[in-house]
Amino acid sequence: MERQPKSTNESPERIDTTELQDGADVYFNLGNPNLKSIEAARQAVADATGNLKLKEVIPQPQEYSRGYGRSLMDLRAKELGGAVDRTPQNIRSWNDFEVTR
Amino acid sequence: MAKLFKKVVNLLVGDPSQVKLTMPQNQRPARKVTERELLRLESEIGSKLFGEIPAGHRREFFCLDETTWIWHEEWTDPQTKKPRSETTRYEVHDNGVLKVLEGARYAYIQGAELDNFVLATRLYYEQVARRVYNVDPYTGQKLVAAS
Repeated sequence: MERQPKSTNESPERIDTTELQDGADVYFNLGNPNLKSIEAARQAVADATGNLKLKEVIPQPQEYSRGYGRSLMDLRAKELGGAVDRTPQNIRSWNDFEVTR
Repeated sequence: MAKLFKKVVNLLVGDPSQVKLTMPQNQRPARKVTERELLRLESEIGSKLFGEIPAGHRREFFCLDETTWIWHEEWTDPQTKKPRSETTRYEVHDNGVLKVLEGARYAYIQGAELDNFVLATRLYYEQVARRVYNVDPYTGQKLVAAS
């Protein structure tokens, strides 16, 4: 099974521990306003996952922005009714972007 | 061409200043929105994340794609009365956020500027998810439209 990082955006009761195995990545989202501290998040995850030995991932600041960007692309794609075609010819250059008002 | 496009958009979606940013499912137009319209709605929110826009300025801030964010500002120079504009592209790389200015000027942002950028992208995501896409930004669940 592909390892999926479990974000601490999810409250512990929402974390599906059946998918987790030893060595799984736990993504600590320091940008989550509900996250009080790393220690609190660590404890919450431990409470939810028991004795699993998880690998903590504390992302660099730019990873948050990339994550938000990715989530926005997903929202946009859903709104447009399908996956966004990201083949090079369909990726607009920023110079091509025209803001009209 | 831009003016024609503007007129067409205005005819289709109305006056942009009157467009509601929340789009409850039952109030959506029958036709699908375009990516450009979504970007415009997103940018309406993005432009207001940094406080009040100075009089006579027009600001855009939006997520162009997964790794590219655009800041664009236009204003009239008070001395020369000529239109001015500045566009900044932020590229999210594995090793940092590269700020690219016109004229081939670029640098990785650091410190408070990096913190502010990350905060801006977070606020943008949270507000756009709620107000444009009508979903909870952290659960992905559809928000129930307020009556």
